[in-house]
Amino acid sequence: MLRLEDFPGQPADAALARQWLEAAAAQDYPDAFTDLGWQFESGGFGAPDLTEAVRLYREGRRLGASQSVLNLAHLTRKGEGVPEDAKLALALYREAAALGNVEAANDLGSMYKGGIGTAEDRVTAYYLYERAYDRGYARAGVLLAWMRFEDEDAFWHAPPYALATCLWALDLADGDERSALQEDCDAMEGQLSPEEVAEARTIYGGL
Amino acid sequence: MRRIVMALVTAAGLTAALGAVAPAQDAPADPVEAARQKYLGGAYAEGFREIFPYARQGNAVAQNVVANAYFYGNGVVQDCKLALKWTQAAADQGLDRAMHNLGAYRDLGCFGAGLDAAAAERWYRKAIDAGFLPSHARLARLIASGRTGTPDPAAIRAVLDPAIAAGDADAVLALAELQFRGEGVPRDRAAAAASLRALALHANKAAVLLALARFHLEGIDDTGPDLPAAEALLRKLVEVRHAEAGPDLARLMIEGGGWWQDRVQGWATCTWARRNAAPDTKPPIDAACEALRPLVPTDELIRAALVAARMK
Repeated sequence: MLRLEDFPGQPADAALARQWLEAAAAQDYPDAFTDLGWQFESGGFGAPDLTEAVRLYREGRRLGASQSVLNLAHLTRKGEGVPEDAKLALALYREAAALGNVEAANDLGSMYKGGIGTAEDRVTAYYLYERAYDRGYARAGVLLAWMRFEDEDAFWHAPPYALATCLWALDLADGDERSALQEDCDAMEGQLSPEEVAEARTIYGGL
Repeated sequence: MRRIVMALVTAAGLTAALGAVAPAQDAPADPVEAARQKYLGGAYAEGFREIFPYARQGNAVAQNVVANAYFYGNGVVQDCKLALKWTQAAADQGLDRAMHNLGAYRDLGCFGAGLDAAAAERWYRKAIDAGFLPSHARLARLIASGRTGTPDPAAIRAVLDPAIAAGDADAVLALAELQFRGEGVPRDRAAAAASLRALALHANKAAVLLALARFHLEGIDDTGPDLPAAEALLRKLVEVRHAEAGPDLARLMIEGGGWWQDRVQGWATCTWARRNAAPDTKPPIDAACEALRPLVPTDELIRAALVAARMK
């Protein structure tokens, strides 16, 4: 998603950004609706306007922009700008995931893990995270690591291997995302004994 | 991607029908047992050579191993008639797993041949009476299919419940699948999904995961099918080389409905699954794949053959 501060060396200019995005949207460029919607949602163009954001995301969805569908799913789950509706949110996460949005596939896993809009299903969550991680989505690797760390009743429970998973996932990330995920891995490491950490480092380095 | 592929148990049928693999360190003094362990360890030709004389002398355990070798073509040329002959010999001596295997032979056939539902039920019941747990699930599925007469829900539960109480995963799986489809027992998708999810959490078994994937394809609750979830589960199963998941993933890829749509890769997956199918799973895999053939244009079938040739 476009963030106005994403262009180093260029002074941020919300009005100019909006002008270009609207020109792209006028030509039915799908992601322009996502980016415009995000500016209205996050307040990039002044006070946040969720109604307008939802309208733009729906337009993006109509044109097949998976990120519009995903943003709409988030708003529907939280009940922001639209009535809260877990089942509809679930359907939207599925739709965005089917369009190939790997973040949506990861979030669909979280819906199953939390039992939101459907019955809790940690097995489906586990494999959705694993698949999203295989497709290069670092955060899914960390969520997968937490399941391997915490789920004592599941066959995948293996704390040292969980930490190794977290470290591999970290290798996929960079920038702000990496520092956020680093905190997860550090927290996990803090709960392991020195022997387990050593074992995790061996697994991490050995593959 | 660097990670350990957590191996799922895919060879449950083989070990169930032959008994457990002994720990490697204590070599058994019994020559039949020693040969059997060699066979189970994958040294098929050597194990077969060593155990065959004992089968000829009338040792039931040896006869059952010889039967298994002929059925799967392990270390010998595959031969359904010889598989049946040796299974029968071992079952007639009252070996529980041979009675089960004979039931399975009559139930599922050998490459589609030798089917006899009434005989299958008879032998499964003998194996159950001898205390052989895996026969419960198989017999329940046979009764539910209607091939032995109009299915009676009470009779199906009477077969399954003792095995479920004894902690048999196959019986839990069978009941969940029958409940999901409403086959032979009242349809109850919520109960089916709940017990399958609990089972899948504890038992890392390919057959359980495949059932869950199929639930997602159909839709578990009123929220409808979940194709992205089904895709994730099926991809995992094909990754661990579970051939039975091949036609399901192939159908998803050929029919589309998401980013995974790819008819060439889909048909190649089906071709791979047929090539890697065990004799008892080959007929249904063949049928499921043939049903997909009309959906793939001829030039893509040819390209898929080239892709499949490179798949291990």
